[in-house]
Amino acid sequence: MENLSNSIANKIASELNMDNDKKEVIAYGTFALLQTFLSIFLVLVVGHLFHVSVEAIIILFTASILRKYSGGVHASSPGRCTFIGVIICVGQAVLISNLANSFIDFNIAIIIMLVTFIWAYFMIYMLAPVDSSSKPIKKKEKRQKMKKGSLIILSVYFAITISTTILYVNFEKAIFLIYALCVSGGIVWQVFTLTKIGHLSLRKIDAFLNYIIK
Amino acid sequence: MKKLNTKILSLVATITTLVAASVATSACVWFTYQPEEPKSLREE
Repeated sequence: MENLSNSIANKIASELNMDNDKKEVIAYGTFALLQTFLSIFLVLVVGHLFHVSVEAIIILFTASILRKYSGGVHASSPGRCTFIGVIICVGQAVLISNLANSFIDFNIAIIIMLVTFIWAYFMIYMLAPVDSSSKPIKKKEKRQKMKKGSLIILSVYFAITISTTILYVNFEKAIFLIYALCVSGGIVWQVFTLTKIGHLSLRKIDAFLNYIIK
Repeated sequence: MKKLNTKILSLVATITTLVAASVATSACVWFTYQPEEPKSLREE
């Protein structure tokens, strides 16, 4: 994917007589667009195969939007990132849908959501933003802005979860409870990637995928 | 044809530059992969 982004940027830069800095920025933006659209497309397609495309997309967007502010551990290649993303989002969606239709009742769902939000607020307050060597966040003001942004996004998720739960109580449709649990699922995965155990786990999965693909 | 081609490429360049600028203000690109950020977008 990086090669494709670089080829597109090379073509644009040579046709429009741009310098190297502008070419790098175009390649970076092209890569961001391609990776975003590809992961949304694959999660929709694989989710559709398991009849959980909406649930999987909710998890993907919940984790990815929060990640924009909180950061977190990274995979070593875009392919592995997309693969992990599809497995995590569709896997969680299948698990939540099945459990909500058999095992999880309203009270258990409320406890899961409350525990998720209390844990997430605490971990984000303590750890966010978690940067990387490819994109370090050095300025103290920016780090504070990112932490504040993460907490605001989490509060928006909390409001969405309350609203969806109220819809479930009023209309008694299990799908509303499933959507609320999917928001919690996305938060759990994203906050997990901020922690040390999350870093270790993702590195092991990454190494395992690297071993299989080789 | 050449003019149209240049216009399309300019549009793509504008969109991708805007996307890159918006990514520069966030902690990472999307899910779990972060490519090297261009020097011109890095804060010193």
